[in-house]
Amino acid sequence: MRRLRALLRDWHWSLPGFALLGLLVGLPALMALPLAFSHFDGLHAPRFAGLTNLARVGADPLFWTALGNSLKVALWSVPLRLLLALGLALLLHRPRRGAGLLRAAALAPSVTPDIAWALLWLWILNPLYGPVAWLLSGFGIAPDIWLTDPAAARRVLALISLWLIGELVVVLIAARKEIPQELYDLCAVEGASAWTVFRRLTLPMLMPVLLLLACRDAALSFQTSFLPALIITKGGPQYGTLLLPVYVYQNGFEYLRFGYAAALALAMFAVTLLMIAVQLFWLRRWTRRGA
Amino acid sequence: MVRVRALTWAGVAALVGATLLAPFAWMLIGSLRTPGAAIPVSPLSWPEAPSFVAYQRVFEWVPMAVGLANSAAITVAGVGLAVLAASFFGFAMTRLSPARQMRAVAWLVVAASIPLTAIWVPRFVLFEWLGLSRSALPLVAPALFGASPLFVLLYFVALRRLGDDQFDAARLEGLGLPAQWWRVALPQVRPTTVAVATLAAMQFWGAFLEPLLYLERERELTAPLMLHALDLLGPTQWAVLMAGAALLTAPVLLAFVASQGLFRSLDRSS
Repeated sequence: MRRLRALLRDWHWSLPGFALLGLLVGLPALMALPLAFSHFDGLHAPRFAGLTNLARVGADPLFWTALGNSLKVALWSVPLRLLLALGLALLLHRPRRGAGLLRAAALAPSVTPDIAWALLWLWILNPLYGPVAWLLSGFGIAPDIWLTDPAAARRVLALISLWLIGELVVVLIAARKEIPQELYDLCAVEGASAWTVFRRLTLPMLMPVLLLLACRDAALSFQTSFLPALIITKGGPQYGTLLLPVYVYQNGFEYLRFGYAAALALAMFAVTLLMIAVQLFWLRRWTRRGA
Repeated sequence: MVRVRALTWAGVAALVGATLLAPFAWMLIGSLRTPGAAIPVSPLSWPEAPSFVAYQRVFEWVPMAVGLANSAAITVAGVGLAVLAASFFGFAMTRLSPARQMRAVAWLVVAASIPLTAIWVPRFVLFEWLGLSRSALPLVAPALFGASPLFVLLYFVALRRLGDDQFDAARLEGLGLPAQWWRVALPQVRPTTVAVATLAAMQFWGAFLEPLLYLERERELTAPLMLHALDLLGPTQWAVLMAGAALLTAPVLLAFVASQGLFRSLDRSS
């Protein structure tokens, strides 16, 4: 009772926020655990299943296919997205004529509703009437390969995500503005070239933010590719774009296997944590070396 | 030299702008074609006889007006609640001791790292058990904690910059924490409110999966679900699909205006 009173005294005005966050994010995240150990279809009461669901995840070839596909898409999209966002941030961090409009243009695709963005790309990539097919045919390139070949379809999903970098650009512009101008003045006095300034000053100063963004982007890449994979490629061709969230969605809400879907979600969560841990390891190593 | 630089900047800006905005231009061009008309030689050319027939078809094929109204209602409710909750939550955090502030930030970062895709199923089961799964309540519910841990963090960072003095003075004058938040703190962080409201609006306006899972009755469906229905009804009717996509994307233009303010505040803060 005394501890409860102390908790209320110390945290009281922040407690409602944390309670609601716990109820709507923390509790569902924790609920995934007991759900993963049960058979539950939403119609009948859940039955204890022991390790059956988790064992099935390990033995399910489609899970490994989905995991591999998700990692391949992330491997393409995360570095390219960061590279493009960095380029745009360095181009647009200075307020000059037209920069405001370009910054807004960089943000616009990110705030476009996912379903509209996915359908728009379905039209753009249409092999018969779409703009990309028409443009490529001008160079004599056959247009119909990208959605019928599994590897090409995965690259298409990565390509679509390259426009959705608005948030990254905003964060990197803010980070670039935090670098003191005096350091750049000093470089100018010493006659350093633009490339040297970028390599020796801008990039090292931005690196911690870049690595943190890489962690976040890797974690979110499972989420951002979900709707394009569901609407544009529908998991195909030949399971080539069956991504983990699509597989979780299918099992949970199409086949009503809530228990198995929760086990898959747990596995996805574990992979996300592993990806973040690997990147944090590199971040710590890099910052120690820098120090 | 200055002239060459200006020309290079203009060229690069034009190229970057054209690349970023090309999908939107194609959406507009596609939506102004007449449904069922002959396929144009170039899909990039402006239609010979641009028309709004495709937009009319959208409203004839699906009850898009109802969908837009529902989306607008959910967005208004969600954004209003999210701004109030995130700013209050963020302000309450700034009143904690420095050690507790660090712990609170750590918890928010942990919450922000949980992929939404990992909690779809348990959250659905939770609302199902609470008997709330067939309503719009689960769609607006996240606004109660600020819609996203990121929004709370944005307010926390902005409000912490204001310092303690004015709030100590307000407290000595007898203002409680809610009054300090409403009368002293909120008016000073308008750019953050614009940024959070814009991002929250796009989150609620564009939500697809949550409405798909929780809404059943046709009169409750949102605009993204209507667009999905259009895709199922006429997957090859590109003009109609692009018109539907354009209707859903129109609020992005508002985000354009708002984001100009956001970037201006970013320039001022440097």
